[in-house]
Amino acid sequence: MPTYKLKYFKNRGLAEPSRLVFAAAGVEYEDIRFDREQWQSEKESSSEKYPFGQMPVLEVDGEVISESKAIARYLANEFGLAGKTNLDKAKVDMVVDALQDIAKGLVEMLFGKDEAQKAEAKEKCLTKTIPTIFSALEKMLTSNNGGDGFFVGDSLTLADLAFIAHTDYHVDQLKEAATLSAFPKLTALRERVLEQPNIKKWIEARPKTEL
Amino acid sequence: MPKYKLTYLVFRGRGEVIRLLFAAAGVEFEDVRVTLKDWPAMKETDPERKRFLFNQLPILEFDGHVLAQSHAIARYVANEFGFAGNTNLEKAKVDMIVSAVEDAYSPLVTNVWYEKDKARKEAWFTEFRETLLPKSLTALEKLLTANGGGDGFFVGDSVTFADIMFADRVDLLVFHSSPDVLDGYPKLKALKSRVEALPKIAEWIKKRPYAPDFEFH
Repeated sequence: MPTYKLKYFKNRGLAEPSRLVFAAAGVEYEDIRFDREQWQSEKESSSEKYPFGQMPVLEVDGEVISESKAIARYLANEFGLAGKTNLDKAKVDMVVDALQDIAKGLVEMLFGKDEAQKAEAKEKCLTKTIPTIFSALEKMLTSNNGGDGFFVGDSLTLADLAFIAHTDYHVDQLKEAATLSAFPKLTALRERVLEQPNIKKWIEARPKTEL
Repeated sequence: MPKYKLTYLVFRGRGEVIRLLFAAAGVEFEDVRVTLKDWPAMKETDPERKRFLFNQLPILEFDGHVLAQSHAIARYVANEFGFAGNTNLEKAKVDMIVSAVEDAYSPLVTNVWYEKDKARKEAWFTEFRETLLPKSLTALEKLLTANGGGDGFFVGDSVTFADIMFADRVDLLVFHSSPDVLDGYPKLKALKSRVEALPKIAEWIKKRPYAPDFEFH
């Protein structure tokens, strides 16, 4: 087994899907978390380890991979959580990319330039982006054996794990909007995946962070 | 071989890398192009979103399947026809480069295409030209050079999704900065020429329909 080092901030954020992949696969890794100051000095002293000057990065036996989705997909492929055929892998990618479209709106909602922009972003998220994307995902899930299993194929994949990581923000930052309430299969999927022993164990053990 | 049907807008935009991958693979596909004017009516032909799954383009249809999300589609085509990288690690490096090119180009869409406020647009452009773009190109030049000196391709020893994505999207980056911006990044500049000289890609570039992308802002 190679040695894995995952480096990110003291957040769930863009690293959490990869951490969930490690957890689901039961694979050990070094979960390195920097605060802002440590990151500044790390960026300067070890810039060759951060190809785009950003985190997360994954170090695998000396190789460096940057970009959160590339990392998550790599780990999923390594551990059999990526989907079995090219078509299944494409469906997993579709789910992950669609969730990211919502995430862009959430980031603007939380970190937008001014209050007006944040409010506009929230409105767009709640009235357009989330309903469109969640209804497409509900349909996609339902079309896979009635929707009582997983997004793709008949076992857990990165699609389900990315969904968990993403909906943590719905459950926290968008709590009063109850964004999942209109989507019974998605709601049940979240509960089902959270109950998987390896996932449950990780969620109980992981550092509790706001984001 | 399935019959592939790609539906996208008349632009190069998020669809062109998929078209280029099919071309590079020598695989026929139906290249459906929709004008912005016709897109709303087309959406209305599919009220249950059986085709336009996320209410967006591109979509790829084949053998009764529908795929959406441009990168998911592109990566599917790349994987099917051998342009994705050969090992999981190579695929990860390809994905990393693709994401980085996307990060460099997609803010243009938000801050140029959709930004109505002229002052905000100008301020962003300055940041783009002076900071964001040089940062991206420097990092990409470094990664390319790290692969055996940089006179081949981004990953491994043959053209992948990463090279094609870069060669296609860089035109917009050049257009919004300066015509000679790549002179500062000689390996990237040579890579673009090298990709566009590959016979099947050169043929596609020569015969592809005109796309009014650069007039769109």
